Amino acid sequence: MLPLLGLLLTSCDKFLDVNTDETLKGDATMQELLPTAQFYTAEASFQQAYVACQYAQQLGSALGSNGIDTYAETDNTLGWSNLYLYALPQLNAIIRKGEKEASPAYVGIAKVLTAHNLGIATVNWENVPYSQADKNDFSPAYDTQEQIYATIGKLLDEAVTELSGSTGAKPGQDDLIYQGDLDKWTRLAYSLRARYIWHGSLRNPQQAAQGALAALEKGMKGNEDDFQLQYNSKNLSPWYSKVAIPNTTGNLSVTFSNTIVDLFNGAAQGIVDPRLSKVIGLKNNQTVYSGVIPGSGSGSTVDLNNKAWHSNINSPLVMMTYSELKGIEAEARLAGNASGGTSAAGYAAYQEMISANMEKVGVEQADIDKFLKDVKVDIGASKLTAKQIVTEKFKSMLLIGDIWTDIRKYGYLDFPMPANPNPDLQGKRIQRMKYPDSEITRNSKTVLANQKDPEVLMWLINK
Amino acid sequence: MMKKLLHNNAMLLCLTMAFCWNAARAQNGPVTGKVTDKDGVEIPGVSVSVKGTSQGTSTNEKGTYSVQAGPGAVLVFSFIGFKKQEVVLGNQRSNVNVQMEADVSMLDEVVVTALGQTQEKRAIGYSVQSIRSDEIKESGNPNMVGALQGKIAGAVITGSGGAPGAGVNIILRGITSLSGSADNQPLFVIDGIIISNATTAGNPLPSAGSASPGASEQFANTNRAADINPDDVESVSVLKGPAATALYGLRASNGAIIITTRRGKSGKLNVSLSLSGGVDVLGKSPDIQTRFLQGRFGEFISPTEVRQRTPYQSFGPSVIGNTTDRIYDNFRGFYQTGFRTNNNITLTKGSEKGNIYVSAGHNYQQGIVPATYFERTSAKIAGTYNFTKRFSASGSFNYIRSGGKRPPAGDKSVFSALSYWPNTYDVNDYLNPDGSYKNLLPGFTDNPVYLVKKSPRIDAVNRYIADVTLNYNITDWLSAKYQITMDAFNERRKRQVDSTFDVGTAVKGFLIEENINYREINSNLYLTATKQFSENWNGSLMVGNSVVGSKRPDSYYERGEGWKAPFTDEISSYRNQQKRFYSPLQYRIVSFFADAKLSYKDMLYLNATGRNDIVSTLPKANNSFFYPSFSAGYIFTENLPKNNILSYGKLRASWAQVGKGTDPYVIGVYYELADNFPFGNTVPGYVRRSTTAADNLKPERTTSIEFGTELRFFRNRLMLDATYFTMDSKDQIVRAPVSNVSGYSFYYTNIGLIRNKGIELLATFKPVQTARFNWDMSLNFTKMSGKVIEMPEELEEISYFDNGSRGVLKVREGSKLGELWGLDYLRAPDGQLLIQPNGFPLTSQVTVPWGNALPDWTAGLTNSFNYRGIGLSFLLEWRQGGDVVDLGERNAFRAGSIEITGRRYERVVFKGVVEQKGADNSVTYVPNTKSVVLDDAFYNPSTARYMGNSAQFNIQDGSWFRLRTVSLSYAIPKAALAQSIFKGGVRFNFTGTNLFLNTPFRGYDPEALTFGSGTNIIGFVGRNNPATRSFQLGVNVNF
Repeated sequence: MLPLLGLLLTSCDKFLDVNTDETLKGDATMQELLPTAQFYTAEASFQQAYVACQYAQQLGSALGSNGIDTYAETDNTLGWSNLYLYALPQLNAIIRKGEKEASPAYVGIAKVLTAHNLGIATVNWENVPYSQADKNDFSPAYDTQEQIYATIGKLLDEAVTELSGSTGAKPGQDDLIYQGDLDKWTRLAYSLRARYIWHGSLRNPQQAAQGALAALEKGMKGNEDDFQLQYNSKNLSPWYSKVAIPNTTGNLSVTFSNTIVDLFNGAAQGIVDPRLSKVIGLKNNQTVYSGVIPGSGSGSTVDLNNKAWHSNINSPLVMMTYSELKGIEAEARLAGNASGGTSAAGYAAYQEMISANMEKVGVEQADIDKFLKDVKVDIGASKLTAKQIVTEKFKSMLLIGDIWTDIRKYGYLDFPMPANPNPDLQGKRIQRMKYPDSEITRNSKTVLANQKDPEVLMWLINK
Repeated sequence: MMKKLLHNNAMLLCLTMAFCWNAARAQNGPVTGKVTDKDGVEIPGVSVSVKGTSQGTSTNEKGTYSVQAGPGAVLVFSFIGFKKQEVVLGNQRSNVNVQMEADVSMLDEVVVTALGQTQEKRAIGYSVQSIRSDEIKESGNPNMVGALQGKIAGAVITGSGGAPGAGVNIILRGITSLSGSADNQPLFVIDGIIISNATTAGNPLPSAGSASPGASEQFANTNRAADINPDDVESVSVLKGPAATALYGLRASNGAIIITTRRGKSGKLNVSLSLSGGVDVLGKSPDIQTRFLQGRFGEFISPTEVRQRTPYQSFGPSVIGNTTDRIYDNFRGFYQTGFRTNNNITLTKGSEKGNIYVSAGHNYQQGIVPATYFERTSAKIAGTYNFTKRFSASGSFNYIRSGGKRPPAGDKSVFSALSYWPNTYDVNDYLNPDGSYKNLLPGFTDNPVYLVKKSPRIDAVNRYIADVTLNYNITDWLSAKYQITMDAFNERRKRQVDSTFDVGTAVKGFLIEENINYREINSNLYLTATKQFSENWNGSLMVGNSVVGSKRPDSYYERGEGWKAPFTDEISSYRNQQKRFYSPLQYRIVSFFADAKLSYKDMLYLNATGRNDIVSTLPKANNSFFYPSFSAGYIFTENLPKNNILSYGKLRASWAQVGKGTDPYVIGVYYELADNFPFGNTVPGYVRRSTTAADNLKPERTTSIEFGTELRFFRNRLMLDATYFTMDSKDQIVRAPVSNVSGYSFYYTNIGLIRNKGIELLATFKPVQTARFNWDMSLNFTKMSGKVIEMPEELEEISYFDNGSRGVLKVREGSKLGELWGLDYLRAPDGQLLIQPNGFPLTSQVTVPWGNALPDWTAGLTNSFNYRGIGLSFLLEWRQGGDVVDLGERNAFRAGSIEITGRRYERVVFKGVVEQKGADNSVTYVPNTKSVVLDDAFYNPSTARYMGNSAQFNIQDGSWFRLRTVSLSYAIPKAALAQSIFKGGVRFNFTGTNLFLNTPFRGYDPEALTFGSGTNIIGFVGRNNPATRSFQLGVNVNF
């Protein structure tokens, strides 16, 4: 009787061994993880830009007076989950596999992307998780902003080393961003390095200027090096699918604010920027460009539609450009120039920032030349100011969320306060996003230890 | 595992063997006789058993029986609807005839309990409720589950609207599982066949565009128990708590609905035919504002105006004095009169050798939403064959084909479009004279009539339910039964939306085809031994094994996006194609169980059960678990002197545990193809699955304690049955939302403690009982509540559904189950509304517990009158409390079409206080005096904090009182038909459903769950097919 029972139980064990989902994979290769990691990095960047560009007054609510553009606190939940749930776990898996399989190219790319993701996270929330993230820890602590910047620097250094390695598998079509061009990845690593060093310019201007200039030396060489994800008619550009389409179907989202539109249409600078008709879309039956007054939901004749460069069905999602790098160079050289004004190289960088972006969005060379020669733009090296550079950078970095860091560093320039500003700020400018509600309810102790009021300056911005 | 198993089952084995060694008793000669009713009509199918043994048979078509029993043995005759009879055998061996007495009092009622055992109700130590077939038929509800509404104490049964084939949600004794995705539906068993009552939501959405966030609300998908033809049903037993269901094990941890279908009986061929037809009309609809036309800020917006202003609002000029325009109530006008037919034919025949039952039925229901319908065709054959006196086999095969066209629900759907439609235009006016589409609101929303006609969801189900059962009476005290059952279905769904529709714009049109397969096989073996220990003590022991295999093989959806020439209805006509498999959800369970019963006289009944489940879904270390149950019933009136006041009294008590496993594949690491990949149709991309599970996931355990009593007074004229229960669900396996920083969004873990408790009351009363006229009343009442006693450290709350803070279904430690959170207004410290300097109140941004989606109590009262073949019965139903959020109202609110927006151009002063700051920064509050004007802006989403977001507005009292059914029937006297071919009887009936509804709720009938059946997301209604009022006429003919 007993042996029989034993037999029964052994076969029972086998009989019950069906708990494997055969429609899914137990593992995935680096080649299968890199495209998704890049895709979700771009999505996270879009989500960040969607909020940051409203705070920075490139965008405003198209719906009413209770949008994010009133400096209402918002949490960017999707950006957070795109980063921590979808991008970072795949990036870590690529790094683990790449190290195991001796494929430094993949390790390097993953580290660059990780650094970029941490960069956009820390400018949103200041202290963010990294060292305890993706570790199966359900109450992870956050790293300080200072630690995060150190981590970014370390990751980018390691990435440069890895990218110069010659062994192992090399990415090809699975690299949706640079199609396996490792030199471009290396230049991106240096460019990001320049960006994140320059973020610290308020804390230590000279050191930041030197560090940034040294890094950008080896950075992007032209628009073809731009860090962007090209969408297609299957995978729709997020500015198209999440903004342009809802705007046409009655679910109003955001539109361009009058702060940016007035910079393009000549109202603020006295000269019409030739990018106006390329990057700003007019609504049907409209002829005059005017943006929404931030915090009011009204006054707009413009839209993110298929007439605007960024919001076509297959527009790229731009994360960092050669033009931005030139802007950083212009700022850094100006800061390094003790005598007031800037050097010739600094002035050239200022002009290159503008012309590179104009070329990117399809402005004719003649129009570029005309604009650059206008007295309001061509003010001369000796008279160039940081404000002038950043104002142009503000236009050249349209819909790139990191512009909000610059705007905060420069105390929001002379931008007007939005209508109906968030009363909690008591007249101050917004400095940070709220941690996501999901995080507040699921990891409350950590959030409480890190959450600060919206008007409180970040470590980075504190001089 | 083996060791554990052995340990758990060693006792069972020993017991089994002990019975094996018991010497067989001496054989006896056969005893024969006939069983009739009091009119002398033979009753076939009466169960005849020899008391204290498993020996038994049933009467044949002539009402005769033959059974092995010796002198002194006691024969027990039982049959549903008749009183049990016992006959002590003397020397008489033949013509042991018995006249059965109709059991009006149901005192010796036989009910079906776990594993299909028929038991005397008096012998059961827990509460069981049984519903007869006529009660189900009289409800007029083609959905088996819906037919139980208002009749079951302890059940919350909620429809998901009046769409043909819409699902019905049933929760017995409260919510025991906390996740939004958790299924708290009971187990459905038909003649021992466990059937799927799943509601598969699927994935009917395009990859982009402003469609609904969740798939489940898109279509009120059918719960699969709706495939069962109510005409085949003989009786339904509702087993509510773990004490009743412990033998079914983990799958019945939310209770069980045991359905017994009709079988062949009489010797002659019996043919019965039932035909019915009816109409459905829209029930309650929202009150509209009837004063203001389409437009904004009091100004009319012509439909031909170049679009600068949003045209979908009804904030235009007053209609008073306007002779050219009128106001349409599109919330009624949109709906048509639906009709339905239900035709069934049944053939039965029985003989000594066995019996056969054949039925065919067709049910067709055209919806009140244009172009929608649901159709069900079913055929069933079932029979028993007696090979020998000891050995018989029975089997059944049921084929069902169901399906139809259903309206797209949810956001950007027919119902959302309807709620935007301006009141100045008839929603049915959607075609130009040349037949082309006339859309008044291009770019905003689609015309709902056009949308549903052009773009419904079409589905078709083919389902097969079958079983084979073998019965073998090994000796007179030992019998064996083996049953193998199968339930399988294939469901296909299709929806095509072209790019001219709002929901199809972003992706330039799309087509979604879904294919869902389901297959479950159950094998059950039972061995039953009975023993009479002494004159007073009887006992029985059943041991058994069951094996379950269930899966959803080869189920997938295929999606095409971007319609390209040549235009066809095939996936190949789409530029971007994607096929994704649904999880096969395969699991297996091996179980061993035992059921021991002991009775003393007819007074005390004791029952103990034990079950050990071994499941495929839990980690090996924890995948085998044992749980026991104990119950006792004591008929205390047996110890009292006979009296005419308290004729019968029983006390019940039980303690039971039931364990529960988890879903397939929650343990392990998986990578899945990322959504909308391959990128650009070429580059594949995978993501790690975002759910994970604790390594040591344990089975969850629900422990229930139940006390009850059944009291019958004045010779059963009055019956009271009361039950009190508590149910503690511990170590629940919860799909806990966790910090995404962990790399996961959900973590399956064992957590906390949920306690449900409640009382269930059942009373029947016969105010009048004469030969010609009877009046029967039956009342049931349920009050229950659940509370979260413990939550795990790392979780502060579990949120199942968040409607943008305008109604959040979530729990924290100490919360009541079903709590709805919302946004209260900002208030001064003394609680008065804090009015802003602009004169308006403002909602807070932080949600607070505001209402509860579960009712405080529910009750149903049935009155039946019978006068010489004319029957009238009506069911009144109450639901007190149970708050609801109307997801459809927000659109109509912002569009200005409903009555609540009718207060316009009025100058009002909001009652409350305003904050005043003194020079020293001290704050004082003074009454608000600032007057403001209510206009469009007040109802606009951008000022939603004035009113639109408030909990006061959004979370409504969903209480109701309704006349659920009125049923009138007339049976032609048999004498008048004796010579005709209709001598089996002719009966006419009329049923009206939902004839009266009283509710404070503003929208449609609040009984229309947005998220359909099979969900925990209760308390959200609207934006789907509203409930109907129906009238049906039918005739039953027996030949």
